[in-house]
Amino acid sequence: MSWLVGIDTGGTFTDLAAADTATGTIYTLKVPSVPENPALAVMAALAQLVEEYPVDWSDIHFLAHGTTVATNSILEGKGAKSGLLLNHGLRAIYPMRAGNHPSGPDLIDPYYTKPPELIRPAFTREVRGRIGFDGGEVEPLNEDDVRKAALEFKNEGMESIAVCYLFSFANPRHEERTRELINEVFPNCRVSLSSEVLPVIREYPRLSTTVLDAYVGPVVARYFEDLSGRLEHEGVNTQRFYIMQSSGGLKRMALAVRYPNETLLSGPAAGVVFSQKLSEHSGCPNLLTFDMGGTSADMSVVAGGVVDETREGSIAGQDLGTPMIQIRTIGSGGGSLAHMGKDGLLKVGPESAGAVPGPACYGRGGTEPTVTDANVRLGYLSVDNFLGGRMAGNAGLAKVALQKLGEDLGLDDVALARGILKIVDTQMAVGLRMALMERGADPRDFVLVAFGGSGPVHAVRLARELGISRVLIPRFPGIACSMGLLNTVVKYVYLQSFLARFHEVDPRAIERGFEDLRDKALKDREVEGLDDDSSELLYQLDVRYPRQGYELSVAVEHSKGRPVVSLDALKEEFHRQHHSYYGISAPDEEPEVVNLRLVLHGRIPQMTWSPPDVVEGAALKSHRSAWFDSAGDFVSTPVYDRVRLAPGMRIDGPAIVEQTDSATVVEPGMHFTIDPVGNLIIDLTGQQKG
Amino acid sequence: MDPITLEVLGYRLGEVVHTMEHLLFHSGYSPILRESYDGSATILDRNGNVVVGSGAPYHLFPYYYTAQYIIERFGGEIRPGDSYMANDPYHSGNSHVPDVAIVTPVFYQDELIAFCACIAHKPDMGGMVPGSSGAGAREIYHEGMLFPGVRIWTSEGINRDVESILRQNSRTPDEVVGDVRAQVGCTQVGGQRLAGLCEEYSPATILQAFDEWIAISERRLGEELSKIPDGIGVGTAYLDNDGVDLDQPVKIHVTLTKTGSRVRLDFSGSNPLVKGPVNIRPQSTEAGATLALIGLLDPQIPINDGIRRAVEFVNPEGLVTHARFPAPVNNYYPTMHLVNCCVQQAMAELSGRAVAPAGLGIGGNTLGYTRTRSGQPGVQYELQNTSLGGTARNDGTFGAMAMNHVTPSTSLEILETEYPMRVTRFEPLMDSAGPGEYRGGLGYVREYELLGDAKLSIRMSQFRFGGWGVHGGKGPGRPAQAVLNEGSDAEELLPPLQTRDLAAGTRFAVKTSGGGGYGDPLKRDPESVLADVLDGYVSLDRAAQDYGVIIDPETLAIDAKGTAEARR
Repeated sequence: MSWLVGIDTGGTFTDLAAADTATGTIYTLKVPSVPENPALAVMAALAQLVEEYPVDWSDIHFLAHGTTVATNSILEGKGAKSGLLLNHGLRAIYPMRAGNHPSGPDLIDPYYTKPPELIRPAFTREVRGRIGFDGGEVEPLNEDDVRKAALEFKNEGMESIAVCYLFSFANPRHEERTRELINEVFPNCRVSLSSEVLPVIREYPRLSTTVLDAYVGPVVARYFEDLSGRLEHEGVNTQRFYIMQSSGGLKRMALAVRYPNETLLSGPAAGVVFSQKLSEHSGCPNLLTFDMGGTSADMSVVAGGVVDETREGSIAGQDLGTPMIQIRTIGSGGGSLAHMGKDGLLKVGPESAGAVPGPACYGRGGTEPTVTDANVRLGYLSVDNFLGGRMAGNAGLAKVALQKLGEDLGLDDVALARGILKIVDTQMAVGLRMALMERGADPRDFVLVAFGGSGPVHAVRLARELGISRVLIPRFPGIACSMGLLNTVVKYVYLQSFLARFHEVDPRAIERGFEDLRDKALKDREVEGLDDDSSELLYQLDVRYPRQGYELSVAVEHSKGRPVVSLDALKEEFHRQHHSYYGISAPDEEPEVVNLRLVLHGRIPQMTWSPPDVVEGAALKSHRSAWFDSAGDFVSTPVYDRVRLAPGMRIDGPAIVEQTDSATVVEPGMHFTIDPVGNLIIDLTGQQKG
Repeated sequence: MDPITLEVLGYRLGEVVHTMEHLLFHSGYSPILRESYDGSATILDRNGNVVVGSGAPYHLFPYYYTAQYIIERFGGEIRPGDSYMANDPYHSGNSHVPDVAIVTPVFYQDELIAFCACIAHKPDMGGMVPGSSGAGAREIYHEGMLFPGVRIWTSEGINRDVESILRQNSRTPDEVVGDVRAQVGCTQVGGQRLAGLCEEYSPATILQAFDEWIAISERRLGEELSKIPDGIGVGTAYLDNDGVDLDQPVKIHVTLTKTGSRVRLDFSGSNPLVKGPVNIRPQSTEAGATLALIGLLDPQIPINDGIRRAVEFVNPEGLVTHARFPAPVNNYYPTMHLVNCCVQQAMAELSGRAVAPAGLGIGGNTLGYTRTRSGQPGVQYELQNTSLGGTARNDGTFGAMAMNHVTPSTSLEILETEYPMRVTRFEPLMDSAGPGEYRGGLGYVREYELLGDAKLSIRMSQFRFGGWGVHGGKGPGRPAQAVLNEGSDAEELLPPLQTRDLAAGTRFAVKTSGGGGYGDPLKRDPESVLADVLDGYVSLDRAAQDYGVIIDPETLAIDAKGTAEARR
């Protein structure tokens, strides 16, 4: 027996998916998260797997883990005590936070404040020495400045040091020498160099990213060490222990510890990667992913099978410039609270009832109605099916909460419930339309993939709002992230600034630049245990039109693992790609190269996609009364048990499909089918049987 | 309209303006727009009232006047496919000449239902100096070409005659025409989206939603005003001078009378019109004043023309706050900021929400090179930030624009790669913040060492009069400064409005002023004072003098006994 296990730590639950490589069997489970020590929940999930299913600790031959340890250390301000070294006279770079752009009321609120610096000025030291814009040395590095600072940092008890000098991406010598000097006086101190963390132009995002690296690095290292000790103790000895990255790929733990920033926004990334895999298996190249949980909804675009990427991320206001999957998050979730605004209108969110007290229908003391309460009142969710029936709920409390707010607004409980859903759906539809508008795409060309506990409940209404005609609900929508961990590759992205107009570029210079990136990649590849056969190197140029504020990655031809640069072909490809991405291009403009980019992809075991294990028995469980706008009333609606739906089945709406972690709502006039690997596919176009 | 549909339409109208704003900032040609965020987008109803806007908040006041001009001038001749271009501060309500507005009427089934409009700051609209905003301007004609509202676009496409005039009169014709095209494009998309909403909801519903959103802002501001006691407040501040009569401070004065749900702002006590370009048009006065009111009372109130109905302005023509034709107005931002500070001052007592002013002297500097790194001539234009003032809740934040808290700050690496200069200092200035229980944000210095010859234009203010503290807080000790070759024999202080030729090797530094302090500095937590000392924000001397916190210079520990005595 050989099992692949994916474990994803979330705010409330830690989810696990286990797949048998031979039979394709999949087991899933959820345990409560343990914020004080997330490793405990990881071990509890594994223990439950071993206890409840025919899996031994020693059968786990692959473990992929999505962790929020780094993220939480920022949210809670519990990162490492770190020092910062930068050029003499340039301390304002960090607190200024160039390009900081608050939104909405913050723009004019006199009480507005920027996010705090993770390293205080008191722990910042200036070093004389300058590199110029062309990489030449303007002023030699003052080694005494470095030694003095390192000694002070040692005495202060620093755990890590961030170093960011101007133009280090063009010439890293001063930063590298700084690390040598630090190591002489302060051995074993973790040193983060901006020329390694993010060797691209623009000092502020590079500095902020390097500071994050220093701030979370020691925390992540401690966590990994603790977790591997616990796993070893239980007899899990696999070398294939991987950590999820915000780029959507995995890195072996031994290497992930060197790139701690890349776990920072990895939470929702696994769900997007899973959707990308779904796109392959369902033959839908264009997907909108929609992951709605208790407090927020994450949305992203997969177009032509490719996930959108960005280098502008932020976590609690701390800016992060490493490449990551582009995910738009809005504060709409099942727990979002409804209330009357000061303007007399119905508002939904962004405040959330959270896990405690939770929605009113949880019966834990919540008295204000939430989105979940509205879904219960309209019959879409049943309080008997919370967590597959393992949690008691009370529909009466939902109604009471709705009535109370309804009185203020002059609405009965049903009208208010419909209004709450209309508003939350509008918030999400606007978010998705903005995400598509920003890349010039039309929603009608996309399939909506809905997951998260609340995603399938809202999917059809959202799709209708957007003019989308197909919705796909995966087999285990509540644990899409754990499933994503079993469906991805090893991924490394190496960047190097390289600024030049196309007509000035020497193709050999590009090839030489790629050689350096290739050397780095091959070193990491070896530690990953990958070789030529199990991996590939993708060479790309980040290109833009002059004066544009954003760029596109264009693939460079390669032969025998080495890039072959043809400028004319690249230019053509850029114009073409710009047109396909934004709907416009400017073929008369001379584009410019911004970065060299090398992506390493390594193949590792993934789960096999096989037909679901269908539980015997009638799929139709019962009927319940659910509201549909098209009927203008409550309608007796058949309720199906998802685990009893077999591939090939086709059922007309209205219908509600329940499973332990979610419920899917299908409206009258629509129908759904189950595809060969167990996805539920809803057709909104209203074609009838036959 | 029911409280659900109106809320939903609020999101949908917001989506339309955010879409327009995104397209404006992403398809615009000039980097100024992207780096400075000096642009905005809006929907106006068919009578020219702003319904909802997005982007730079101080832009949302001029739109009304622009639309009024176009409606009056073109009336029944407004046709589908038209777009109008306007930048004339006197006829079409713009704050200054580089802010070019595009206004596009929106039709649904042959009926005019709205206007979609946007404003974007242009790199150059002609006139005496590159950038069109010169210290030497003495009348509006010196500030570039003026379009009061002309048809730049029809259903046939761009109006080639107007395009030629634009091209021949701008130093940056490609950027200006490119930006104008992008602006027209974004308003057209906005118009299509609005027509789509009419299709989905019916035009009557959309028109009703416009009216109700405008009414909500009026009512919300009225409610917040009703919560504070009736009474009178005054605010006074001074500009150093107008750039011409250097010994003559320029007074800004407001008398605020709050009665019930209404407020009257009377600027009659302000200085008469001056010769230099620091006068502002009434739309700028209204913007600075209203942003102060809403910011203090409830920044969640949507900014639209409903607000006009709750605020009465007494601002007769012929004042520095109401420029009379043809007075120059290009350096409007510092004056508008002083208006904003005066209204904050006037509101402090009445509202119980005093905030100290953001660092005064906000402005920009331009270095024009005959030869940049690329071999071509080029202009390095930068806005200098300020820092906010202290409040009852927090120290003023560092490095944010006043009245629009973005941080335009071009990357040093980008600047050094493009222009022949090096940034030698960019650091917060010790002791530059106004002391207080909550201190102001710090000022900073940004110093450039020129590696090639350049023409410098500075457009700042408040080198003599700094900000002030509130509720016992103090003003920042030092006002803003511009200085050449600091610390050498050739050191020279520059006036705030100046154009100069500089030789390679010269160092030029801008020193911004910090924000004012809130509350008695003797009440500031000594630990916070110590932290400021360790962070290099406050010197040991000033910790003792301003804050009464005695810190041992050797151990850097607080001397509790000495502090208790000093604070007695």
